[in-house]
Amino acid sequence: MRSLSKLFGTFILMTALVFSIGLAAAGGKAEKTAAPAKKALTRPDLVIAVQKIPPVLEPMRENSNVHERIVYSVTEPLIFIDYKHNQKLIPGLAVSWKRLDDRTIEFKLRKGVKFQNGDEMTAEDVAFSFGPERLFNKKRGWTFAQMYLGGIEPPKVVDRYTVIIKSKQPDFLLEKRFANYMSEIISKKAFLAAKDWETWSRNVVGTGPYKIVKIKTGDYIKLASFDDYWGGKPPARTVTFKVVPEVAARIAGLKTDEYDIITDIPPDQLAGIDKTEGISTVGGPIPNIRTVQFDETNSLLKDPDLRRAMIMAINRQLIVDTLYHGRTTVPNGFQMKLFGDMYIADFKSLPYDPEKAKELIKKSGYKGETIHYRILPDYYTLEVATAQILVEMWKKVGLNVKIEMKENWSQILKNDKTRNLFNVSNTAFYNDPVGLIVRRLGPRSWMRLKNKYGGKDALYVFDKKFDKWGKILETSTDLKTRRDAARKMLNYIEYENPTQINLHALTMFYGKRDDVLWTAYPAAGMDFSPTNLSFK
Amino acid sequence: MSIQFIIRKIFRALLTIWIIVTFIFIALRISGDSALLIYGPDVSAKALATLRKAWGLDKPIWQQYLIYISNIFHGDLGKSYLDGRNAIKVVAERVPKTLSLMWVTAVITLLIGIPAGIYSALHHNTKRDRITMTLAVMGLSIPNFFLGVLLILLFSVSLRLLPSAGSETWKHYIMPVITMSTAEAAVFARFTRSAMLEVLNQPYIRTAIAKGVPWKKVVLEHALPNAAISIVTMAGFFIGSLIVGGVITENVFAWPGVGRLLVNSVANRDLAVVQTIVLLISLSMVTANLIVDLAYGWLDPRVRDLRSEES
Repeated sequence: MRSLSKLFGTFILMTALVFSIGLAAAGGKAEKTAAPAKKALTRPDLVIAVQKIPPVLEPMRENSNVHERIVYSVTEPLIFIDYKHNQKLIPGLAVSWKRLDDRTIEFKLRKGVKFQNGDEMTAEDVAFSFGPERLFNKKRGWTFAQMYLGGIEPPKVVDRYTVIIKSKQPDFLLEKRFANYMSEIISKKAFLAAKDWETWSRNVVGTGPYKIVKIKTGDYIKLASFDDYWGGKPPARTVTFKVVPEVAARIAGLKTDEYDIITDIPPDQLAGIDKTEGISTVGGPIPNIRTVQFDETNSLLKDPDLRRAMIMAINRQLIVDTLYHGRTTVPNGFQMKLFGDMYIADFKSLPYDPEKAKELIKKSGYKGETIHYRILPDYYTLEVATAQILVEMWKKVGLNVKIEMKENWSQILKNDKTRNLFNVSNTAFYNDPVGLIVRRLGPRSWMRLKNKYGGKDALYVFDKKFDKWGKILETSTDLKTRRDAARKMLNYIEYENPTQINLHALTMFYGKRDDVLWTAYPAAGMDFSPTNLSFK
Repeated sequence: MSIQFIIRKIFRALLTIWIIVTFIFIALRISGDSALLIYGPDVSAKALATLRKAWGLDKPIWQQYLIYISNIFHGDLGKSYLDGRNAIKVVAERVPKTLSLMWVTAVITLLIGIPAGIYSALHHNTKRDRITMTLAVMGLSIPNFFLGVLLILLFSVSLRLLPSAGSETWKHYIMPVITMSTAEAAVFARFTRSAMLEVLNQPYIRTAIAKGVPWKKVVLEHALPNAAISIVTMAGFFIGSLIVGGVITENVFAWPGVGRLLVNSVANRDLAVVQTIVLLISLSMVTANLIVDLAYGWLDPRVRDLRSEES
């Protein structure tokens, strides 16, 4: 019996040791989160189960859907996008704006708007938000917003409620730039009071309907109602974005009323949710096109005929109908209907035509060499399933494509003989071809740059005329001239020098309780302000 | 047990930790670029260069390594690239959650696994043995992600008895513990059974029975202590791996533990965080095994005598 107690004693000693290492490392007790008291008060606590949360909420610091989703509730831009009315630009923190010339814009600010720290928002805050101290933060060296706002000069404060912002060059998109993600206004005083950039990034103070209570990295982000919100008292007392990585667990939690809304639902789960009483799915395509990129500088894919054949071998509608149950769309070239006047409706993309594809393959002199297709395992929705279908479709026309699973972007972009095909998603950052075709394939895109630092080399070497058309799109204000340039660019990358296969619009589906009256926008941001959230 | 023996064991343990940490340090750096992974392909060349400089990744790998080792001795394991916080803080806030789950899992596992193995061995080749071992094989064969989801469907969705995910109350522990203990207890049951059977066939057991020692006494005082060495070895590995033992379970039940942090940090090449976790894992693994080593001598006088002779 003595030996038995020794055995038990050894076990206790070992576990106690491991336990104490952990506690010592933790420096104290585990923090506990109180379970949300659902619907207990006049205003409910809203719980959203998400796949992932961002580690920081500084709007300019990240460029991701998971970040934009939450930033939307904390900070706001000068101009709002009315997602319920064809994405029209409407007054936000600015009540009005006017162009002074082709590169200057004047904003009149809304009076009485309070930051979450109680201070009033003024032109000083706007100027600081787009000023070098934040945009070109020297300590950090990089904010994502530089990519979109790097072309503006430091704003000028005219009076307490008027500010003038000037672009370094004529800019057709100036208004749209200030309506976008990363153009949110922050409190100058709170920024300067923060100990450092890292502390600020987790304690952002904006004007949005909810303020940050706590960011527990990898676990949850809790926001609380900002009752002095200029747009009225927010409908939820708190909003918690809770990380639940597994989709099955998110759906189960929705069914058991633990969550009010769940995000990132794959298309094959939609019908199951819709069949369940009390919950349903919302959402659909977002302004993002999923593409398969060709590396045309690679000798294997140099021949445009072979690339045309690869496009024509794919039945994209079939993929949308089967994998997505018809709940997304096949794009008509590298453009979106959201572009409004700039959408080239009569543009015809290369059709699905396997016989023609076979002819083109023969003409290209392709001899059955292996074409390597690099993918990340389900980085994009149904990425693996889609890739397998594509490979089978290519096989039918005589192309030998091999899927290669990679772990990260470094491995996807590594420039060697096997970089032939890989997947990308392309957000239309503005509802204009500049936000998609110029951003992604223009001369400043990473796909066009040789970048020794990133281990990346250009994927494309374009004719100069392509960039000339791009310049017209960026600077011209004449609709006809711009449409003409857009059409030529679409033609160039689809027919003359095919760069990619435009598979389908990317989707964003949510599940929600039927008593939560909330509209999902065709964007990553989730709007829980009084205009878009109420409870039955 | 001589001091020399303990020093030798500690030296070996430190050597093991150093090899693991060095291997991870090099492997992480040659298999992905942190700046590119965190900020994506859209990031500019200038930004990449700035970030690499800020993170010290522009230096040759041997220089980075020397700095890293030197910083370890100063208690500085670096900062997370994702949110700029101290890596120790980032890891430490996850450790209690993991340990609280693993501690319960370990106790349940051992309380079920070891007695089941003993029971099976004592009823060797009977229906009871076969039933116990069939259950053990089943437990071992069901993948964690499958069992986890199955439990959620049963206890959360159908019966509405337990919360489906999270870690706030005692109820949140039930399903993750069942999920992890099922497979682990099965391993212990099979292992204990084999160890016990081997011991029960030894001549000294036959002698004890022939002498008329009661069966209960034979099992508890002769067989079990002798089978203990193997079980303690297994327990060493098991307890050492507890810190990241439940990556899949943590994912299924949204448990904010170290396992999930490790997966996320590796994917983003958040080097300082990965290295801190690896250091913690190797430290706990090596420490647990060191204790097992030392416990051998305590449990088995023959080992103790042999070590005394060696030293």
